[in-house]
Amino acid sequence: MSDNDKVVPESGKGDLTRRELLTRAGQVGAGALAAGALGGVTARAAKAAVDRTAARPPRGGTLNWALEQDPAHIAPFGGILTANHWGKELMYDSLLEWDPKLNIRVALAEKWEVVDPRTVVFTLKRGVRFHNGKELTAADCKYSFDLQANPPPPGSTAVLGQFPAIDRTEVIDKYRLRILLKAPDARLFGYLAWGRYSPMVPEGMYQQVNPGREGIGTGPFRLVTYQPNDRLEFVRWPRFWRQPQPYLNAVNFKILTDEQARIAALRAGAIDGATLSPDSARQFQGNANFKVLSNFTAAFRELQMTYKPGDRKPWHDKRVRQAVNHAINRQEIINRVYSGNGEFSGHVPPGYGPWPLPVKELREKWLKYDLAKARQLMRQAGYANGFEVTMSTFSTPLDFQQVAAVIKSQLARIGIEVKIEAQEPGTFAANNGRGNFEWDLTARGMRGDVDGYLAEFNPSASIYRVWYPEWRPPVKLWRLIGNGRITLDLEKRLPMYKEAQRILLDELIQVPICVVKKFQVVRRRVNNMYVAFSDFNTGIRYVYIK
Amino acid sequence: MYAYILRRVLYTIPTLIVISILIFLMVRLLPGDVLDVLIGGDITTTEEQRQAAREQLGLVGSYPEQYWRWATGALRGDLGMSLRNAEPVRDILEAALPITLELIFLALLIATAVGIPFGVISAVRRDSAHDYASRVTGLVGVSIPNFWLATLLLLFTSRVFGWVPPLTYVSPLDDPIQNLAQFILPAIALSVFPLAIIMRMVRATMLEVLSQDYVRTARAKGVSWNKVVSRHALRNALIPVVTIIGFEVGVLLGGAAIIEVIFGLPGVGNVLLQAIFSRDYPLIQAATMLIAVTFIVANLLVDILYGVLDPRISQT
Amino acid sequence: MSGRLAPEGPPVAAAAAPPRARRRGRARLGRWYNPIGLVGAAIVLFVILVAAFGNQVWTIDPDAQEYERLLAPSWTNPMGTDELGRDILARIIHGARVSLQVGLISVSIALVFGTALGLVAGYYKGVTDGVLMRVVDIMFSFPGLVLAILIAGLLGPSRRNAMIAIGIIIIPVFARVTRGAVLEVMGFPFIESARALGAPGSRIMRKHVLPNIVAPLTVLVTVYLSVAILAEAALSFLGLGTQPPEASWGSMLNTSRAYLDFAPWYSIFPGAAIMVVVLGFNFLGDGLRDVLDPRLGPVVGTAPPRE
Repeated sequence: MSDNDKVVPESGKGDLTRRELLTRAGQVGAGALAAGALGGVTARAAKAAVDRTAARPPRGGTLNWALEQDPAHIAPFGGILTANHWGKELMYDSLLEWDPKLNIRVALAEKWEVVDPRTVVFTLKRGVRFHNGKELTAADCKYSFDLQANPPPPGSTAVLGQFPAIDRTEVIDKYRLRILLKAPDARLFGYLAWGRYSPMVPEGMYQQVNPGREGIGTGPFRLVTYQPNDRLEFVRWPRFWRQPQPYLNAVNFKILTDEQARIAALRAGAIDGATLSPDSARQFQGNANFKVLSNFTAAFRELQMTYKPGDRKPWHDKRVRQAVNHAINRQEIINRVYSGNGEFSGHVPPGYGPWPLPVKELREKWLKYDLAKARQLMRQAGYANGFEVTMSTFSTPLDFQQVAAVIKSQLARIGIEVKIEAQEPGTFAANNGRGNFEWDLTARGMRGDVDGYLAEFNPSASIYRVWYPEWRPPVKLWRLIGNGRITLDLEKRLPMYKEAQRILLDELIQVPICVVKKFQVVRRRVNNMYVAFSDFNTGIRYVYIK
Repeated sequence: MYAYILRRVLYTIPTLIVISILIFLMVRLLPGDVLDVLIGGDITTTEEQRQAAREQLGLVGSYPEQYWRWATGALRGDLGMSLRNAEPVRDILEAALPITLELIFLALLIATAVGIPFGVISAVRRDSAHDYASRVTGLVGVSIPNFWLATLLLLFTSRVFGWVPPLTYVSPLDDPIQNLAQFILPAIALSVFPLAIIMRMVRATMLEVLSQDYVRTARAKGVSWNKVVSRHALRNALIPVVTIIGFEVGVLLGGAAIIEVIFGLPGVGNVLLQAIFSRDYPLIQAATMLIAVTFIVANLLVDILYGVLDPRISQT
Repeated sequence: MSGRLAPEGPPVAAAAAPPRARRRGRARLGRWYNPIGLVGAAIVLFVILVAAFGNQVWTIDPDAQEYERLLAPSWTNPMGTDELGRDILARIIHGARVSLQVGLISVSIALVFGTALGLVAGYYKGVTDGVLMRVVDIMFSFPGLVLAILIAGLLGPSRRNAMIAIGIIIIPVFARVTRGAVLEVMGFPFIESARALGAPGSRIMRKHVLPNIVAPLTVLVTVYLSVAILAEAALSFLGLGTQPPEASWGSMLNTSRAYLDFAPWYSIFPGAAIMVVVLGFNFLGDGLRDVLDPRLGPVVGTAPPRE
């Protein structure tokens, strides 16, 4: 591994600055305290990202990077696909941001103050310039929040499921903005730090440019051109608010959906870096011209089951679900499909701040491979002879089919005959969203707040009625999830989510499988890049070429 | 002759109408809509939010209404807006079409430039070593999937020459050399299949013509062998070649998708594939219709060309 | 595609003079002497034997994930292992069965429906012909990509539905070729006399027309068997082909592309298997053409529909 990996946090060991931050922010008048906490964070991040090289990184050069999917559009608001954000993340900022370790720190905001549980006041940094030269003001922020609440095309209002309970925003003065919440909502800070749905744009931007193909942001790079399915070109924004960044003169994204094409282009020097599969990335290991970077991301694989009225299915019995869980040998899946580059995951992926259960607990207790116990549970449930079930998954990317094939052979050991249906992604998404399946092997992605991982187990969620309307977990689970969202104090909030996860690991209506390492291979000249847990290419903001 | 052409042209109108209806219906029969795909894993979306998003996208109204809007719009040159990025579908296809057409043109150019001469030689020297060699090579060509060959070519040039085709698309008008460098590998990968078929067709037709009475008569009269081949046989052999070209233009317009994806070319197939995966109805409809129209027009031209190459046809 | 030929096309065939070659051995086998055809028959027979009995000779379970992943060929695994540590040889053998089945069934679908369409169109001509051929045009012009996903979505992804999709996609070719051949046969005097004698259309088609178009159809079948096997590869990319973990040559080739850079053997074996079968069927087709109908020229090479 390259020295660059030092920038990357070890998964599951993320320090709790994020937690301190939220705790203190949750207290009345926490603005100053928050700034204090942030001081520590910023220093640490700077140490990782900048000071690590004794001298200031050299400026200049162009980074050619391959994206594995076309962004489709780069509108600041209402972009649902991860790829939407790949296309826009270099040009926009939000009030807050995550550092490489997922600690929340200020970005466009200088500080904030939780006035009461439903009112937060943000103070903006002064002198932040948009790419058109205009200074960022509270009016721009209000404009942005209004559009976030109702994203115009090409964005979709479908993203509003992620939007915190913001009632309205008010301009206090040029640099101060008041956010009024309908109810206390702990998701606000993660929503702002994630940046994906919460960029700040200048007032009236939607009237000035075509937001799907152009944009005006405050980010380190200014968009020059976006040719769909082909490329995006950015140049350095010299008045970027976090000097001396950015170091690069320009960044070009080439859309290369085919992995073999990325491998060929990387080897030929046509691109400086790209995301590759673990197997392919290994081929570059030990090659002096390349550095192989890796990190876990939030995307974890999981097996989900339906629980609907009508026929009694064997897995409506909790013991059967537990048997399935113990019959799945996750280490074998990680080794066979991901050549060892994976880790056990609960319903919140390891590495997601302080929220997930310790991996040790998962491995030794909840997700333990125990065939004898699985057989016993099947017997107790009256299914000693097993049963048949159809498990659908994506036809592409291929690893889903491969995980499915391994699970099939593992479950055969307890008599469960799994029929795999690999569906084209559009079909799979439709069937999944409509509950039209028995078992689905699917994946979850990054969320702005831990609530995003557990909200689907709350019976008020519409998807609950689609997937498992008849499922009756302990009422405590519902209460924990419902109250977790409105609890701002992290000291109180954290144990609620831990307990909810333990209940879910007993209920197992969704059986988490594993998280997977994401690999990015860069040429030797590329410095400071890291694989972001969020699945974005945030590291490019800090890259310099030498 | 003109009556024949006119009749063929008139035939295409009902065909096109039926195709447009079928395309419209089939696209709607695809399971799932753009929202399912977009929302995907976002399970926190409420039904109200979904409904609002659906209305925002214009996914409302009865099918006849929607069809009428689409068909009348299409006649005016308005193909609607992409659901995925709110760009006019027409702009998207206008940007993609020249790329695919160039790719098809180059692929068929290679196929004919290599396929015809080799087919002729095969026929003229029937059962020679050369004949067998080119027939076997042709069959190998038919049995290699083009996506596999494309990958092999790409990995080969990157490993051996440390070279891959230039990554950003340039128009042949701006920089012909770089444009060619970008298109040559994908064109080769695409050409192998039509090449093999053209070679076989030319060989078969030539053999047949060369055995005809009038050829023997001409030979008996002392016309040189070369002249017989070039004047009589080749002209006839061109008829199936024209057929294949007409057909391949239609097939490759959408069928080059995987090759375009591998080489990162933003062509029609690439656009169609993405549109399908994201259930972007207006774009799927328009791209599919474009392919169908091209197919029908290409075959119409082929039929007319037949009439020119062989006057007997237009009289029947 | 050859369907364009006849009657609007060029004259389909003319007596191809028996050429200089084929001297030796000819006496013994008579009209069946045809080196390329015999080689083709041998290959096809071999593949059928592999499909039928291969798993009794090479008894490793094609789905068992019991070896290291991506092993190079060795004595234990003569073709190496795949990305889940399954024996590639066992999967190639199993895949022979799948791929042959895909080829045979989808071509049968196209043969039955396409021939019926073409026969009726060519026999009745006029309005029937005009309408049926427009239907065929429409089928032809619909991109296979969309059609395949539609069928997968409506009927569910499975090998059976993949075969249906491939069958539907190649029906137009069979319809057009049949029609062309029928139109040519219709000009023969014996049809006239049968008609004059008052034989019903269905009987004339069965007794007089069909036997005379067997030759071009035979060729078409052999060519399209290989096309169908290849098409299955593209369909598994779209999630319509063989479902995991079952092996087919097409899906193996599709998967192996991801490892082409560092495990080329994984690609080469299914690729070679497809190539051998395609060669076999094409040689057989060429041979049959010469044997069954020496007059028949250019009908052979037909462009297949692709995804």
